[in-house]
Amino acid sequence: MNDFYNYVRNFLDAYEWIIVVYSSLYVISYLFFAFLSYVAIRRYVLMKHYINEDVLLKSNEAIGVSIVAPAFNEGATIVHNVKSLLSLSYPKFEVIIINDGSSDDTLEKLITEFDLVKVPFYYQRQIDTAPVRGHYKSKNQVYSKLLVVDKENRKSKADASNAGINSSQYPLFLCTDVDCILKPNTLVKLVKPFIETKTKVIAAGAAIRSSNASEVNEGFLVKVHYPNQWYPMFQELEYVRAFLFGRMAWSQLNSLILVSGGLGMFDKEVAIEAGGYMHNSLGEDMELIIRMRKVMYERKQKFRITYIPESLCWTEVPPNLKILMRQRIRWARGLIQTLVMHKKLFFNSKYGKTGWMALPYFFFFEFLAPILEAFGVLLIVTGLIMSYFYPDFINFDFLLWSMLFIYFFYINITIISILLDELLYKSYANIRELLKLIGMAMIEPILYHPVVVVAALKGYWQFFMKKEATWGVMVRKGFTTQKK
Amino acid sequence: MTKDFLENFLQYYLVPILGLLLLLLVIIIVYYRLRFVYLSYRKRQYYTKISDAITTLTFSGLEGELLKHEVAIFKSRFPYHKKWFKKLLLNSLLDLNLNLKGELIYQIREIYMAFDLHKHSLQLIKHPHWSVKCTGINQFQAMNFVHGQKYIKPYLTSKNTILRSNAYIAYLYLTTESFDTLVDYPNPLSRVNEYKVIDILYLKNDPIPKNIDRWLEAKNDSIVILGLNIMVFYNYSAAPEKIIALLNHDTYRIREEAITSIRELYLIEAEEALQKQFDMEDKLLQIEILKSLSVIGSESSVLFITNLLKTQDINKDVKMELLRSLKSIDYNYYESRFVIDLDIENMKAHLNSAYL
Repeated sequence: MNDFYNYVRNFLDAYEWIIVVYSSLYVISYLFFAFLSYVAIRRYVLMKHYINEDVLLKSNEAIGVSIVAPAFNEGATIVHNVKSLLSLSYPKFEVIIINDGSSDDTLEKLITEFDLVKVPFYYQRQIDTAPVRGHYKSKNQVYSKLLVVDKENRKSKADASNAGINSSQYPLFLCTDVDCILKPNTLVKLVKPFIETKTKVIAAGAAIRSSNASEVNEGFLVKVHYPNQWYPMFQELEYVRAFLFGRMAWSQLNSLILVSGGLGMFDKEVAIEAGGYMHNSLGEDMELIIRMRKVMYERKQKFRITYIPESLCWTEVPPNLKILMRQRIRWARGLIQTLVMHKKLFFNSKYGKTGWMALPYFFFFEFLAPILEAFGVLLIVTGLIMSYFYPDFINFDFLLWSMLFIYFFYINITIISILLDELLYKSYANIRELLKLIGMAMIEPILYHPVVVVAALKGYWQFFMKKEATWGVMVRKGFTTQKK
Repeated sequence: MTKDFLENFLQYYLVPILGLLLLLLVIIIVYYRLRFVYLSYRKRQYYTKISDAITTLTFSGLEGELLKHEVAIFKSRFPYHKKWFKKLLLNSLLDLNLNLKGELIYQIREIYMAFDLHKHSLQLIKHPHWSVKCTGINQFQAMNFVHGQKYIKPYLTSKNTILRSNAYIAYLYLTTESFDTLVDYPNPLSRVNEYKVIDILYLKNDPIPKNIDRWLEAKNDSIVILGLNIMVFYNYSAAPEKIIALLNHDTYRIREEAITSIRELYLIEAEEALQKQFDMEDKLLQIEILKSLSVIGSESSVLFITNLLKTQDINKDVKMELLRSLKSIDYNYYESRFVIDLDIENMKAHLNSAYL
């Protein structure tokens, strides 16, 4: 028994030190990110002096943008959502809706509402996609900006997006989900990074928020509200933290490897050269960015991928545990799949910051963190059991202070993100919602974080067990009426 | 480092510091929101009153002492000495200025000066931070405050790109000098600045610079591009040789702009040069060349396009554009040929669709 005790004791000691080093690196990197985010956000805020958006809006020289929005069984909301997209303010754009083999009345509704007719569109499969059944344009000049692509389903949003990219006519394309509600000036905001510098910008993204409790009328956002369901409330916190904190820091380092599938603008030529979205990837947005970066490194051409710290897109986030788990499992699988797929880039000098900074960070701090956390919990439980037999087995004081430190650090990071959001945009309707958000931040590490860790572990497990990947269906509540 | 040390460090330093930081952050968030609510309330309270008063003053046509008298009355009715109020008043003036045209904008400038708001703008320009300076400069520009030029001039050579850009644009807007001097501008301009200069030309409605031909010979590529854009803006087609010569320029963007300008200015004499240039360019510029040929092309371009269409390994986008150009130049020829090529038939079906 003594041997077992010593064995476990030594192992725990060693693990403790590993965790101390790991946590210290984590904390240092987060502090570094906090500083970089501050610099990036400040820079963005100051850049607003560079050009008045009105100048861009009335320019004849504006760069054209194709909005690519796949739709799968979105009959409940499709008409309002398309109208919302068509109403964006920008001098030169088109809206491409890809009906991804819907089994409901999505296409019929589009045809009826927008007076569509099938047209002999010359479709070039520059990126491989499932067969396209046809293209539709409106007979009504009011909807001349709308193009509907009807294609067979290949069980991936990526494939539908690729069909949209193949059908697009402008040099920039904006990928979004058809249920996303975009701010009217989204296109101007996202085009700006492409024209502000001489360096080639290959992609730009912006913050996404939850629309679950917001007031939406016929596809248009009336008032933003903090969600009123548990899981969306926690996700809103995650979004604020991820977009204002992590992504702005990566943007400042010019090492972003993730631009959300919900809202991202891309240089079409580079995206096509990179091969478009990978249809069998579960993390296709991250995967595309890595391949686009590879293209630019191979061309030896300077480039930038930019994030702007403004909420331009609102989307329904998973409202319950079941859908949330499915989404997070997919994200976790997508992460490990992408890291494995691009393992040759790790510490490869040819791929600059992507190989030396972004990918190693994602491996050590995004991929490994849930594993180490779960292992840590397991060891604490083992320690508690052992302490029943050997009262001095666990130093409870040390355990308590370490956990309190981690807890406070985590909350501080979240609260700083909320503060940044409050200073910059005042996204929430009133002080009650803000206090609710702060309150949720306090309990998030205890109630919500474990769910995310479990989902990540399940995702890794399914990846290594090679379980068949599915996207699942996100049931939309629909935004047909304005909420009271 | 022992575990005890770490434990003490956590217990007596890190955890309390983080706890206090949390408390402080929450207080700041709550404070800022309450302050925002209060300021919004005050703004709502005054905004309509200010707008009404400013609109009345604008349409009253009052000048000189009479205007000053009215302004004094206004000042006595409102908390004018407060910074936030001045800001609100200035924003109202700027909003009104955006929505008015003609002589009325000069009346707004008079009101701006009668309120001494130009001094407020000047204070902003003298502020040490460049972004605040930009705000002041933009206010001078928006209010068409021509006397402000001398305060802006020192920033035309600023090392800060954005400040320099804003100062230059404001200066161009306010100056009575012609745009001729821009030819010697030494710094590169981003696309943003090109848009801004064209916008100023549009707003000022000034005549085209007399030395515009020289712009195409400038060493600064940005000035060449701007020169081409200005020529297009004014529909100035008196320098065809110089524009055609730019088709061989080393800078990609200049070649692109030259091709576009040929199309926009309808320079039919560039047809042969465009055809010669075609093989030397990438896909994107080839498409641009074809777009230009579709506007200025003659029978020679029909032959040129027909020969290219016979090429086997031609890019599909280029092929599509070839057909589009052909359709534009000689519709009958376009309709009567290529019946056996399925690919071309499909492209033609696309091009012939009324909705595409």
